[in-house]
Amino acid sequence: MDNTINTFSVVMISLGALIGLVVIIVAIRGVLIDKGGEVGGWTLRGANQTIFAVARSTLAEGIRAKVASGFALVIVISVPVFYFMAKGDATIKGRVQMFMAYSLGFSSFVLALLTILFSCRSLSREIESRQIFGLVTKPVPRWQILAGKWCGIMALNVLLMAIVGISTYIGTRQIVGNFKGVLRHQLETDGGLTADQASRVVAALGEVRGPGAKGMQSPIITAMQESTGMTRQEIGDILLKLPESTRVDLRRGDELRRQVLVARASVKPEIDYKAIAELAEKRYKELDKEGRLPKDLGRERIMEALQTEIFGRMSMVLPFQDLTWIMKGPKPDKRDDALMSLRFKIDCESALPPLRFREIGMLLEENKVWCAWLIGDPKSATVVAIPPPLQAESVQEIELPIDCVSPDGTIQISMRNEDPRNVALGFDITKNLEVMYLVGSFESNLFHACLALLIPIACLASFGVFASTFLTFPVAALILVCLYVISSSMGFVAESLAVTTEYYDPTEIQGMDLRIRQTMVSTMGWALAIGDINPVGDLIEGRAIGWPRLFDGFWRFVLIKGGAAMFIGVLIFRRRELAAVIV
Amino acid sequence: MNVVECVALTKVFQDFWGRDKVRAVDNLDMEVRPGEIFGLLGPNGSGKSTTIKMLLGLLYPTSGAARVLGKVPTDTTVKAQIGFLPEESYLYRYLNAYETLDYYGRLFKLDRYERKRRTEQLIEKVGLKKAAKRPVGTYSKGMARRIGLAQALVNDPDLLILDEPTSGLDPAGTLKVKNVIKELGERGKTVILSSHLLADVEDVCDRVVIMYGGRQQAVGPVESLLKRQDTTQILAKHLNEATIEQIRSLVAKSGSELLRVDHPTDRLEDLFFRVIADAQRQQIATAGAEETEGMPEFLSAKPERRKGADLVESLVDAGRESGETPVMTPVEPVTPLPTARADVLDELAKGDRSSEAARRKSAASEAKKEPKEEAKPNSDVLDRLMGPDNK
Repeated sequence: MDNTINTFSVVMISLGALIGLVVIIVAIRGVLIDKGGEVGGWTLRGANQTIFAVARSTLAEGIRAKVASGFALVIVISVPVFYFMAKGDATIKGRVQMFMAYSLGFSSFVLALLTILFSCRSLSREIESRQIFGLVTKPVPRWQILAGKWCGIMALNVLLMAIVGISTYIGTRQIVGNFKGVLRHQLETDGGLTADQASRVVAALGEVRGPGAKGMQSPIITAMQESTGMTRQEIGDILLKLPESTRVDLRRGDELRRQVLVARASVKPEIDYKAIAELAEKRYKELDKEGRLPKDLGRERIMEALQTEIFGRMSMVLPFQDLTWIMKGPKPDKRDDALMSLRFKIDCESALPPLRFREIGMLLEENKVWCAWLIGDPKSATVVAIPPPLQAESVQEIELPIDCVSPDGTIQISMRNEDPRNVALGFDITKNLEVMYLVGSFESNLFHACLALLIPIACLASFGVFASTFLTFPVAALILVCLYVISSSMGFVAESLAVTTEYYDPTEIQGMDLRIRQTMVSTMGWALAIGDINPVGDLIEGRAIGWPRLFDGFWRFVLIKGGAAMFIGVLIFRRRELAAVIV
Repeated sequence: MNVVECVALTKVFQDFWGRDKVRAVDNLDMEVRPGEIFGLLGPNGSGKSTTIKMLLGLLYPTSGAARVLGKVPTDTTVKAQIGFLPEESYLYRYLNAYETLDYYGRLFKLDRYERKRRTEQLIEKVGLKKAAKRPVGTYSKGMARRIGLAQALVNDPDLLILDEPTSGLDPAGTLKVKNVIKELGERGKTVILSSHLLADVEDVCDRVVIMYGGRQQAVGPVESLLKRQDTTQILAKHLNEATIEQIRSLVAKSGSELLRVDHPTDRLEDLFFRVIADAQRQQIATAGAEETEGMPEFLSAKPERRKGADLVESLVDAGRESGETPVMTPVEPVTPLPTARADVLDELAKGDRSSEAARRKSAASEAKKEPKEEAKPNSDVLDRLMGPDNK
């Protein structure tokens, strides 16, 4: 085993150890020297009143002292700017997605900065300017002061987040509304329809049902046909008179309505990691008995390799065999215009050359595989088949009727590999095999997204209040900004330390060095995580941000992590001599 | 039980490396009895504020101990009975007077009705009614002091701790605050006030401790500390030279010596109040704080305790009984120390300037105002302002 440790690691470890040692010594010294401190005050009686009072004054400070109002102004200005600037891929879907991503993403960034600055400033400034004297000489326990500060900061954030959420919603609806207006106008001028007919065509866009199809088979045309009473051909002719971009937007607009501006559950196959570990363990013992374990690798690496192999088998369809996954998701919302979609990426063992079926005279193109899906509710007869061939090596999304999902949320998916080139087809079942179906409305999903965006902000607010119990404003704010930046770029840190699975070269970095790096990255990742669960990314793909995820984030990052920071802050603040001067 | 008790209270400030640098309070033994107005007296840097901060739990003693109302000062529960006016009124600049008092009322868990009642009464009492809707950040130092005093009273405290209560106030404001303190004393409240303005302490305090260099230099009732037992003052209407000579020889005969014969002058403070009273009689409006009468009704009185006035009376009596030489009632106050005199002059100069500014400002606003909106002459205020003269 190679145990070389390079200079970089030595320096980093020494530095970390030194800082840790100093912090521990200072902390122990602080705990041991009993200078005095608050007595009692842990009572809860009337706490709500005092916490509310402190929160109210903090909120008033935020609103009136021009700190927060500046940030609020930035948000209020930026959302309309994004409304006009967001173009995306020039389709209506791209525009809406980009607008939502920008307005929510940027606003949450601004709110995070505001929270850092405000939470670090509020208490430490009050201590510096001695306003705190008026507060701590009242019968207000110090934990209630900190809790009040946190509540005040969060009240401000909730207020601003509500503005962001509402304006994003209005902006989104506006973009869709604008498109409908343009379409109506074009139908009247270019298509030669009457105002009434044009209105009915536009209204039909809300009635589209069933999975999408190409050209004249499109369900959009079916809906238009039903609402106007015209024939398919007539509608096709009218649509052909419209500009190309409008016709593209008809399809994209329908995708937007049924796949983006909704809340869809994303269900993946369940993976029994415990079983995989047990299998690997068994296999390791067998290999050990046979004396076939590789000499140059440690036990951990071998186990890792074994697990990868077993995992691969569970997600690989061998030639001329089939594999069935049963997935269990939340109950679907079976609106009649709802869709289910299967999203997958087929990985091939090797590159697939083109192949000609002589018998039927058909060409199987390069990277197209001959395999079939059977998808449906195992308890009913509703089974839909997706016929071959399918594109490999790229993410495919296929729309299916919502009936494929059973009313309790069970889906059965089978895949049969019939490719004549004798190739095994695999899936990354952790990422690239999922079904998505409607479970809720866009409005509720947007609301959940806003709540999810508040989780890291609440965590930061706790850190800020904690930091301001013993640091001055600039120091606390600087540390928190660093923390926020590093925490948002943990992926980059992991990459630069070469420990991501895609990135490391086992021959170059291994043994102690690799373990130290991995420990460093995982420790940093754990310590700096503030609960950013990327709700914006999910929202713009129409993925439901469910309560369990929100509760999980809230529990881990607001209650546990934020709570721990606040608790330590309270302990420090209770001991702090507020009028102390260092001479 | 004493309201405040300090035993060998010591506070040493340290530098960054933990080395002792400044001994701000050194071995202070002090007790404050229920219902008395207690003065902490001393020049700047003598440890008055440090002592007060230790009594409030803002600083922790290096050694020794302090007890406030029988508990350690850092106990949260004890603070419900304390009112504190800091050295400077550190208020939330963005709140107005109503909001400020409402906020502090909430911290004492007062209900909405009670907060409203007390807030209104206190704002009336400290004469900020006209400026009550303005953010406190826009207040002059004197007005900030007034709202600071109001917040110290919002919980109807048993113990009131006032750090330099009259700093930054014009003489009228000073007098006002002094009267409030006296009234509170009469209601049986215990008041601790620190000041380097000797006249303040002398006028209101029952007992004082004089500090210097963090140590207690003298302690006792004001009267007994001030009485100069080795000299006697005789005050008479105008005497001619011959009579004075006669007295001189009479004094010489009795084995003593006539030290000084001169005409007493008015104190500048008395002169000042006469001038202001004249101005008010001429109904000149002011944009600043107004003067009002009476105490807010929510402030509880403790009739079972001896009233402050009685206390003073008894102290005077006590002095008479123990006095070896026949005591004349002192009409002239004891000449203040030169430093304090300088301070008073400073205050007056400041007061003069500010009243001058106020007058100019009011003259401007007068042009717009209807005559009936002008400040009414308040005969009570005049009486009060004239008070020191008549005494």
